Amino acid sequence: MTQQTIDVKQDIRAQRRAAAEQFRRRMESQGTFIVRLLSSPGAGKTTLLEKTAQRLGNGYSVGVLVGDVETDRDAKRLAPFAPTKQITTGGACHLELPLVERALPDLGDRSFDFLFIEDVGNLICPASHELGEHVRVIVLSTTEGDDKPGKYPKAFRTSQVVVISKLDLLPHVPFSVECATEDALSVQPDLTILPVCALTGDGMDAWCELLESRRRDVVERIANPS
Amino acid sequence: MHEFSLVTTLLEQADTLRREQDADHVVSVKVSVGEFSGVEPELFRNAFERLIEDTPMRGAELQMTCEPLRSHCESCGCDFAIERFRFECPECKSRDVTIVSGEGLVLESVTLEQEESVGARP
Repeated sequence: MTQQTIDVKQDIRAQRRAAAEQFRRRMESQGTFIVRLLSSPGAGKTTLLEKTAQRLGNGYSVGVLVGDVETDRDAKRLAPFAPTKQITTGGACHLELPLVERALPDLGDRSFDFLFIEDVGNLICPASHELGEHVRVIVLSTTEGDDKPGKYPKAFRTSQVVVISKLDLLPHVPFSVECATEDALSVQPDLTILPVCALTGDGMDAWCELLESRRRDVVERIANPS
Repeated sequence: MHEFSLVTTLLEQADTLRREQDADHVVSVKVSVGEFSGVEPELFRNAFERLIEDTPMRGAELQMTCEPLRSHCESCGCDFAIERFRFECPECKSRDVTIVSGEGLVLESVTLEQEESVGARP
């Protein structure tokens, strides 16, 4: 018997990250900007997406992939507003890139200006997986409590935008937008925080403008590589 | 429980290395788990023990070390350990801090075993 120890010193996720980067580049070369939504279950991702797809659909092509453990309820809700494909993970707590790549052709043989990926409702596992998104957005609802950023630091640290949702319920729940904002910024000072109510439309202009502007940055970078 | 998925990737990487080296067994794998890697070490170990059962890596040992979360302050230049995931410099209170370690899930090394081949020529 002989033994040998081989030094590897490589992150176990390195190949996945490289695949996510490749996916992002492939999609942006077609003009597609990828927005990924993370949240707890019931934070309002699907309602936000319904209204977002409706608004952006006036000037842009929009596609949606929605992840859930089971059922196609979200896809049915979103289908009237944009081509949508449900990804059921069959028990898994998060989406992974191969699932996304497999589902994408079901949206049709076309490219989109915006591809939204709604991850499984969970603020833990999805934060450790990259799906090639250009922007990672956390939807934090006023009914969840303003202490969530500090409780789920990985998700907030690795995101770029926080949408504070269900703003219309603010008078009825013990939630302080200031406290949530302060807590989130202590984990990630670069976060953009947007209070939104998808049902009444409050904040939706700022949210859609942010998405359009981030997409424009990517499109311009592709058109004028430095 | 995304640890199962990550262990699956680890096992694939270790087994690929075993085949490349033409070795018979994987004796052990050494993994460094960052405090901010999003991986829970105990769940990772449970997943490892469950998943190696039906693979050629059965019996392999998982050696884990934990890498603490450390940051560098871009304002005053000091290095420090992040306490309770508050990304703020303890010296100058700046939030312009960069993570320098503790985010990774690193396969450090793999120990392989080669059985003496029967009838091998000296």
